[in-house]
Amino acid sequence: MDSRLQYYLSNDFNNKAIQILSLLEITLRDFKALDESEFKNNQKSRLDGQFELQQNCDEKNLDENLSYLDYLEKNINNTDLYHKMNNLFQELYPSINYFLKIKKVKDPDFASDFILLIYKTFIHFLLKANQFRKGNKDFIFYYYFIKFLNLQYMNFKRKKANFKDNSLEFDEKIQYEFSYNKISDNDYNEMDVIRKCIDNHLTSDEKALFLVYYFFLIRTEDLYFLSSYFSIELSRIIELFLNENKKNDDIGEYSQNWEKKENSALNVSDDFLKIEEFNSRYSKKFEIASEELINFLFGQNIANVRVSILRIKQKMKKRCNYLLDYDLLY
Amino acid sequence: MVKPVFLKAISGETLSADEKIELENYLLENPENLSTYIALKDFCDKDFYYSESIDDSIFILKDKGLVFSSLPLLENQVIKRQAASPSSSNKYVKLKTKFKDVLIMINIEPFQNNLVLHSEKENVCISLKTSAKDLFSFILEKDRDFTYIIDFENMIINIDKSSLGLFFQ
Repeated sequence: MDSRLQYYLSNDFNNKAIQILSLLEITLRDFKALDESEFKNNQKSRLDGQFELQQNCDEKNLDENLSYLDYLEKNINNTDLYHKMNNLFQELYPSINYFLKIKKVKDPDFASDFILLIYKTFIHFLLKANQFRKGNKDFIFYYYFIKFLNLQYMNFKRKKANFKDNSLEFDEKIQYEFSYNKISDNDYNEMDVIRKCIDNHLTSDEKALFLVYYFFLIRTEDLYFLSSYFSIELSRIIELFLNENKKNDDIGEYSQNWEKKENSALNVSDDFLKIEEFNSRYSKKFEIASEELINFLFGQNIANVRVSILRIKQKMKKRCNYLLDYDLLY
Repeated sequence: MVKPVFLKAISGETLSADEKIELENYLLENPENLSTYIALKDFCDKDFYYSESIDDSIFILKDKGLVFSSLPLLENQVIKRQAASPSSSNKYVKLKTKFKDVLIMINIEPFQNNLVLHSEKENVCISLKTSAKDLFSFILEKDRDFTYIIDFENMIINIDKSSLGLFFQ
């Protein structure tokens, strides 16, 4: 791995990020406590009270945060936070470049627009990251930043395609989205019901078989179960499944598959990624673990495993008739 | 916080038997870090052999006077001066960096943007191009400077099959 990237995983960088997040928190508090009258006189007519809900960062939209950034830039004499934010962005810049390389972005105009978008939405990301940090002693800033880049990239690519030949229109229409907000609770419940059925009604053997066969269902906690069930080191189990994903990725177009891989079965559990997890799970609904993996873990061929899986499905249908509506069991 | 063996495993280095045990114990004792481990390992496992894409880049926000670079900058000066006219930019940016064997100097003034390439090696091929088409190709000779006036937004410089993206906003 590039030594510059290793730096992002160091305590030094992590602490630096946490420092700026703390500073942001303090500044937000101070900002809220700003002399209301002065603020109203000078700014409120123009900004129309956009900062009233600063305490609830999740609810804020991009315009508000960008206005906040503008406000910091133009009006606060002590620009410590603003400079620190720019310095942090400066430090993260090589990783943005690295990300563009992974995505094989060759068009400099596209790259430039994307970098600018990331810069503009950086304050929003910081506010979001600050939310994640709460209660997480091992908060790793860089990890969230990569996820942020990927989320933005997917939105950006889609919107750029829609406004291909009219950059002005694109600039005007581009809106920042946390698209996971669009997923309703019901969508998650479907998956949860299936999980519940697996956990409640299958024996350990069946559970291991089912999870591996539909390997996209695996969640973080399942890895502990599979590691102990197969008596394979946790890190080795992770490698096996990462390799499985890699094989899938080699088939199709690289960048599309990279996104798929990012959203792979070996998912992470934080809210930030829910949409990606959800899309991944459902788009990969009929994909199954490869013959090699099945052979390695169970010592039997995939045809035998399919027969076993059929039996498990029948058992699940009998015991969990509420699952009949889901394609997964057919 | 992050353990060295955690980083080592993520970067794909071979672990010794003791380190494997240490990693295993670490993951077992810190399940909250498992998803991070997976995501980062997956991210770092990618192959980066696509030399056609942008290897490094410098992004200059002229109006804000900010410069972001994936290369170490030998010189980075942003000077704010009195604007000659209300419509013109009052930011002067002076950058110096080294990409491969070529010293690159970027000088941005209100009415002129200059790019100076200076090779420390003979026969380095400098190819300047936009996304649309190749604009210029030049073989640098030893100790010779090549000056280019930037009159468009973004460009890529190719040197010895590596590319440096220059973005101006």
